[in-house]
Amino acid sequence: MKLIILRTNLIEALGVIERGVGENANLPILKSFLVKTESGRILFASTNLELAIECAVPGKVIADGVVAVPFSVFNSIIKNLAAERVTIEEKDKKIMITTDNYEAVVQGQDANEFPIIPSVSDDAGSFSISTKDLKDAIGCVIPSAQYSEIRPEISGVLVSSSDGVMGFVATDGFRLAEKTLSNAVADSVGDFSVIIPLKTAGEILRIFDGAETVDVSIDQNQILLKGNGERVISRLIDGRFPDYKAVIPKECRTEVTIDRQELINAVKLASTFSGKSNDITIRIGENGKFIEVYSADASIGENSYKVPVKTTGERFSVIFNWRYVLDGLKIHKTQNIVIGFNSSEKPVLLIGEGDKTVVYVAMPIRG
Amino acid sequence: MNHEDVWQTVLGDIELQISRPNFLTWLKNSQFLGKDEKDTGVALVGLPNNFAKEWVKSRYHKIILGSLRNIDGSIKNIDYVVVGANAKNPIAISVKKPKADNDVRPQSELIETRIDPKTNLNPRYDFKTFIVGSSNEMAYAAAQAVVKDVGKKYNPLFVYGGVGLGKTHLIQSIGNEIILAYKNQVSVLYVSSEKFINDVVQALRNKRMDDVKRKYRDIDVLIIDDIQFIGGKTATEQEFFYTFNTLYENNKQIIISSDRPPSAIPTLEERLRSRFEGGMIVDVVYPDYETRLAILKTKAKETGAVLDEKIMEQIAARVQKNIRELEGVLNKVVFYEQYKSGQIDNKKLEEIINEAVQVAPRNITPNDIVKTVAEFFEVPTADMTQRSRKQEVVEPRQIAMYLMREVLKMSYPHIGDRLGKRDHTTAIHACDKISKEISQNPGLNQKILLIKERLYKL
Repeated sequence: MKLIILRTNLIEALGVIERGVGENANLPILKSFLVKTESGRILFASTNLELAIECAVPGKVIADGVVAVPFSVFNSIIKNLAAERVTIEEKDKKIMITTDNYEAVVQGQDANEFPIIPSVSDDAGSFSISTKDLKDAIGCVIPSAQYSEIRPEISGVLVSSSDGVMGFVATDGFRLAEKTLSNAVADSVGDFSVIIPLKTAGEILRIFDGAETVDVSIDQNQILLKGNGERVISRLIDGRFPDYKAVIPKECRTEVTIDRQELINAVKLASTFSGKSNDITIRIGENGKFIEVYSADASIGENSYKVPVKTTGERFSVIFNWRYVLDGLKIHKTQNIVIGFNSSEKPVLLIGEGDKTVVYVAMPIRG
Repeated sequence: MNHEDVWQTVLGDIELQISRPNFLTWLKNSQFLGKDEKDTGVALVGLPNNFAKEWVKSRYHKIILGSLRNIDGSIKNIDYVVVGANAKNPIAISVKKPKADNDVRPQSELIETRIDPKTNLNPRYDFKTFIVGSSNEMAYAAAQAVVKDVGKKYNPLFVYGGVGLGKTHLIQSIGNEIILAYKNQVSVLYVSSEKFINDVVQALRNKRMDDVKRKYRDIDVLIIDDIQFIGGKTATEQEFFYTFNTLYENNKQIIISSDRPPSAIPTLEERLRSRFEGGMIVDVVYPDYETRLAILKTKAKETGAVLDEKIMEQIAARVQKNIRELEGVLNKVVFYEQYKSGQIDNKKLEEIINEAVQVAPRNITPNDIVKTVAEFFEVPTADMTQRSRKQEVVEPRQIAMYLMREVLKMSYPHIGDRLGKRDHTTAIHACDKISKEISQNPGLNQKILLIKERLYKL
């Protein structure tokens, strides 16, 4: 095998497959990635047996071949090279990396030892979606998710489709974010509902930069995303996502409309004074003309920030973990935000004024 | 050979032929799922993920096929399927312990019911959701009395009964009700005996026995679940004995559950047993049909599902031995109806029930009863069915008669005939005698329950 590739292209491709490179004491070959040529194209592939990333690399193929290359060695060589063009040649599992003034030989491994990357059918559904929509939606909900060994079913992002409306949901048990996309995919896309592992969702955000749209195929227990020569294949989480719709309040006794940016400032300030449990109190002031964001800690001091609001309904005082509030405010895009309260112990709803596609629910701290 | 044995043999064979790392990576979580139904000679092999599937298919197919064929010559090919790895090999669960930090206020959870970190109680359990029937009314009444008179009236309260009959529900409810009734003035602690054992072992290792003493003695109500497990663990039993005494002397309430009465826990130390027996001992037994139906209805209402009356009746009639199974079947049926968005048909319902109850409705024969009873009492089967009047066969024979009448609804003359060609009046007498004695003699009741358990397990 002999290839000539521009260094910048190599760096980009290595960046794409980097997170797919695995750590497995039983199977050291996972620390390598696969280099192969396929009808004049160069492909890099890495896998950790949960997730596989493939990436096409622009470059010139002089002789075909396939080999497994240790990732970290190769990566550091390429990173530190100064030359523009890099020649990669393989003979008897030895990989020679040469530029005008540099030469290295790296011991590779037989490509036959490298795991076979499974193929994905589209039994359970397939669709194309604009990369921006997909990344926006995942980026919007992913801060609300958290990896949990005990509860694998919420260690991911729920992606579902019904009647052409796509929903993305993530939760860590304390708060929940939902983003719905109508008109993002063709109506003909069938109904499905799958849980994408958190790590895979993170990878989707990271790669597919050059692609306009991403093609998605789903079968019983895998998902395949491809775009711009990059392919991500991942297992899906086998489990039942909690009935999240039951958590989102249908109606609220009190609704407060508030400037989003101003509340973000208030929460950030209050966070400096919050105690160990990160608690801040949000209190609706007299006449409902303002809310007070209050926090105190015996060893630091106390502060209170008043923000003008429009209120309908009764007055409330609710204690929150400020991180949950801040995350919820940040995922919205609108100027104003509507906060819905039902009681100081019930979940609180945050939706953008005039934008119902992003819904955020946070649980208060019991006072 | 069952599937597991077959697969163990195959794996043993393969392990010799491929490297250890490869074996561990690709085949460790595999399983043999039997041959396909149509009997076309295709064997099904389950693998944990698609990577393993592709790999095993392309690399080890020949070895596996050869190995399988050595065991079963009719296998001609193999189909590989991906089955959830979690099904057979649950991932090790590591729970982070909440730090003991009293300043930090608890964050409520969105969806799950939360377990109170201070008391370990699950707030889901309360008396309101506890369905009372003839099978558990005694236990229920005792529990209520305990809530009213903490530490005074029935101390300790010892609740025993089979798996999935509501012991945990009942004792946790007591804890929750006490907290509610006394507005947090009373400190309650609920632990499984396993947790208690772990605490003691940990403390012994770290030489911090004082921590355990403080934790378990500075409370007003101690609730221990599944106490039978501490039997035989000397250090734990000793520590528990001291804890028990300390609490008892200070009029603190102790509530204990077990799957059998104190006298039937073989490894329990005598001094502990006598203490358990000093309080109130109540049992919960299999719920009757009406109770089961009521439980089903409540559960259905809780989950917000609407189910046909007939379906619920059928479930209640068929699932008899375990409330948890009852709940499982209900959940499955509800899920099925939502998923298929239509009413479940009879065949599918039967399927779900059979799956849960496991033992398909099998005919228990009179012979089964005679055999089980004979084995239980360790008397020769022949003595039971002959006219022997030996003292040691009299009771077993009477119990067998009673079971034949109760379980199989056999006629008295037929019963007499089966057990030593006796007159039907003898059978009537035996049945009457046993059913009368059951209510007066808890030992006999326990024996009969155990025999029934064995009988259904056949």
